[in-house]
This record gives sequence, C-alpha cells and structure tokens, in this order.
Amino acid sequence: MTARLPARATARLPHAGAGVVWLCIALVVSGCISPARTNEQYRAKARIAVQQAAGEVATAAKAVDLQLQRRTFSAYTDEVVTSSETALGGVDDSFGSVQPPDPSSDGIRDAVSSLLSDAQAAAAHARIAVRRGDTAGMRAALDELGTVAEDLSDAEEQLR
Amino acid sequence: MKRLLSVALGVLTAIGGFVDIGDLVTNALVGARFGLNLAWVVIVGVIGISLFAEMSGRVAAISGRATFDLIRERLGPRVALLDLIGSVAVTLLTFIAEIGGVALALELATSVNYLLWVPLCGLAVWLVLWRVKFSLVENVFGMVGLTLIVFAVVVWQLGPDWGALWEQASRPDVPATEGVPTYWYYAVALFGAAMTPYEVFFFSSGGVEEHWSTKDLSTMRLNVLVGFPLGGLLSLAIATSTALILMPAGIEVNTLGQVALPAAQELGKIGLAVALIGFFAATFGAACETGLSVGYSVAQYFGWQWGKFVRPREASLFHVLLLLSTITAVAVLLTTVDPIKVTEYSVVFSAVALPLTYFPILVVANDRDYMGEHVNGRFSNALGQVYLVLVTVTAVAAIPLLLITKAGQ
Repeated sequence: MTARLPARATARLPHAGAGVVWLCIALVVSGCISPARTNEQYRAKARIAVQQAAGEVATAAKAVDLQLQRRTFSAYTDEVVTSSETALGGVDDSFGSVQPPDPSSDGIRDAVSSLLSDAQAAAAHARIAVRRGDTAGMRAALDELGTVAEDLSDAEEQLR
Repeated sequence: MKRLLSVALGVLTAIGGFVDIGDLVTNALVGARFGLNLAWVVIVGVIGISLFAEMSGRVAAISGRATFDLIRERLGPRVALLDLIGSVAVTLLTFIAEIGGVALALELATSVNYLLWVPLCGLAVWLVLWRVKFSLVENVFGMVGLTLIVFAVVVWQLGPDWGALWEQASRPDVPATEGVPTYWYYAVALFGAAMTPYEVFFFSSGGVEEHWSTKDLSTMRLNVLVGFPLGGLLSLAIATSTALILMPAGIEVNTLGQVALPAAQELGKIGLAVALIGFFAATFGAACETGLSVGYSVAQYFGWQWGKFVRPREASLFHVLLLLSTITAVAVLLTTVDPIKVTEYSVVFSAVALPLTYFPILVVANDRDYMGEHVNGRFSNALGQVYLVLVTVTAVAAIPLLLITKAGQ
C-alpha cells in the first residue's frame, strides 16, 4: 500500500494559502454594500430594501397574530418580533448608507426612509406590547403592522 | 430480536441525525423563496451523501482505518495536507454554526440573549465530547432529533394540493421574483448543506471506533440507504412547510425563529415546543459530530491516538484539539457575528470543499489493495464519477455565484 498520486496531484492543485485568501476576499466582498451610480440602480436598491422590510413586517405580524391566538409562547414571540425589529434597523442603516446619485433620487430616499422608520416603529410597538402581555396593544400593533405592510407593498409597485 | 432493534435504532438515529443547522436554515429559506422549485437538489444531494457515506463506511469496515489516515497514505502527505486544511476549515465553520444554532434554539425557548448561552453551550458540548460515550451521543440526539417530524405533520395538517406540489417539484422553474444566478446560488447552498463533508468523516470514524467489520456491512448500508433518504424527507418537509405558509405571506427566512412559525401556526404551542426541541437536538448533536470530526481529521492525518473509545489521557492531543476547537467556536460567536450568516456561508464553503472530501474516498474505495473483493462495483463507480463531476462543477461555481448574487440577495 504505497502512495501513488502525490506529485501529479500536488502540481495541479492550487496552494492552500491562496485558497484561504480567496475565500476571505469572497466573504468580505459578498457582504459589502455597493454604491448606486445611477437613479435606476438607486431605485433597485430602494426596491430591495422595501422587499426586505416587507418580509420582516410580515414576520412580526404573523408572530403577533399567533400570540393573540395563543398559539405561541410569549418568549418565542418576543424573540421573533425583536429579531424583525433589529433586521428592520439593519435594512434602514444599509439603505441609508447608500449615497443618492443625483437630486432626482432624493425623493426616493425620503419616501423609503420614512417607510422604513414607520416599519421600525410598528415593530417596536409590537415588541413592547408582547413583552407587557398587553393584548390591546398587540391588536393595535397588528393593525399598525398591516398598514405599514400595505404602504410597503404600494411602494414596491411604484419602484418597479 | 436484539439485532433488529439495533438496526432500527441505527436507522432512526440516521434519520434524526441527518438534519443540522445548515439543513434547517437552508431548506426553510429556499422553501420560503423558491417553493419546491429546488426540491430536486435535496434529492440529488441525498443520493450523493448516501453514495459516499456507504463508500466511506465500507472502507472503514474493510480496512479498519479512518478516512484521513488512508487519504494521507494513498495520496501522499502534501495533497492530504491541502485536503485536511480545506476540510477542517469548513468543518470548523460548521461547528461554529452548530453551537450558534444551539444558542439560538435556547434563546427562542427562554428569551435570554443567545450570546449569554454561547459559552454555556460551548461548555456543554465540550463536556459531552470529553465525558459522554460515543453511542449515547449518537443515539440520544439522533432520536430526539426525530421530533423534527413535526414539520411533516404540519404539511399533512395543512392538507395541501399534493398535485400542485408535485408539479412544482417535478418541473422546477425560476420564480418570477428571483434571478437565475440566485436560483443557482441556492442550488449550490442546498447541495452543500446536504453533502456536508463532516457527515462522511464522522460516519467513517465512528465505524472505526465501533470496530465495524464485514459482518456489519449490511447494517451500515441499511442505516445509510434507508436512514439518510428518510432524513432527506425531513429536509423536504421543512422546505414544504415554509413554502406553504411563509412564501404566501412574503416572509423570507433570516432567523431560526422564522423556521418554527409554520409549526406554531398549524400545531400551536405543542407543535412549537416540539420544533424547538428538535432544533436543539439537531444542532447539539451536529455540534458534537462536527467537533469530533475536526479532532478526528487532524488526529488521523498526524497519526495521533484518537477517539472516544480510548481514555482522554491516552488521546491527549485529540482532546486538546477538541477543547481548542470549542474555544475557537465560542470566541468567534462572541464577536456577535450572526450565527445564521455563518450557517449560510458554511454551506456554500462546504460546496467549495466537496471535491477535497469525495475524490479521495472514491480513490480509496476503488483500490483493491485496501478493499480486496469489497472494492466499488461498476454501478457505485459510475455514479461516483458522475458525482465527482457534479461536486467539481459545484465547487467551481460556488464562489462566483456568491459574489454575483451578493450571497443570495
């Protein structure tokens, strides 16, 4: 039982260190926020931010709804709603860090930023109500989340 | 009767132990975004992992030696070192993700921040690796992991249009809301999650630890060829549940909490509790397996004494390595890196490392010097070569797809 392939195989395989560096670069680059150079690119970024926010708002609404139906534990609902609130903050930060390429993009920025703030506020109200076990507060937060969801859906359509 | 029970236990633990944090998150995420349009990848992945797990189990049973011991001897120390670095890096990343998954499962149950759980989870995993018997770890977490069947119950309870689901799964298409590169990025991620390299290292090293011989081959094959596909069905059930409940609501999966929403909706508090227990068992069991796999791989390459069947004193370097891996995992998680992001990257990098794992196994399983009459048959060989091409293409495509899609955004 002797080794048979080493010389040929090693010659063909890249250096391990280079592979690790490649992976690190890929990891860093994939996590970067690329700039928007045109109004079109900025709209696309705004649309993605709105889509992500809509998903988080829907998550928070689903969790609160299930809590009101007594189908979940409050600890679990709290975690799900808090995660959505945190994620909405992340979406807002990411979108807010993108420079609008021209004055015509400022309107998109204002509208989307305002929507993202509303979404964060609605998720925060839901989190507060869930932690207090406040059923009326949860119902109010659910309505608020529903309104924000509709606004986000409209904005997504307009940004297409 | 005793043998039958032993076989049944092996199959059940193979099913329960199949799903880990990568399978949980990736299947739920893909189901919520693509419906069942990527179900074919799970099937391809399950056939692949079954094929290579059977090969590595057979190699362990016939040669009595573990994967990296043979890789070093058969391919030489330099190629084996490259293989070791790639495989251990990916397995360590998976280990970090699994410990993060345990902490997240506890956070969901208690509402105590997962960062507070991380050191305790690391300590618990290390204590289990150090003190608890191998068979107990495998059987307990495998059996409790079976509670993830709750997702199959959710799908059944929903009473979906099975014809429409079959239509979607059998005639896959890219949803209008998703791009083609994103579809293929998640295909790669799903394939990487199903064929995670550590599963093979753990399986074959376990075989050596339990002194498998030719008479254990049939039991091993039953475990692999029945247990793994049924474990794959659990993965599909998770994807189907999110496709039916989260996709219509526009919910994308970014957290472990979202994965459990279908169980809460359909089965209420009991379903949610069972799902959370399943998350805990699946991630804790996988954390033990990945931790051991890191130790197994390195110790086997360097020729150190290794294993859970010898006293820690006799395998001191192996146990030091387990301790260092655990400390590293805890330290990385305490930087507040998102465990779900670690999971997403770990499955993609698993895909990158696939050829490093599966090429040497195919080489050794074909070598009559090691395998004698138990060398690969024509069917295994042909399928193995097809999969070698597939894993190579997947590995080459993974990084470009990661960059183009910005990690699937």
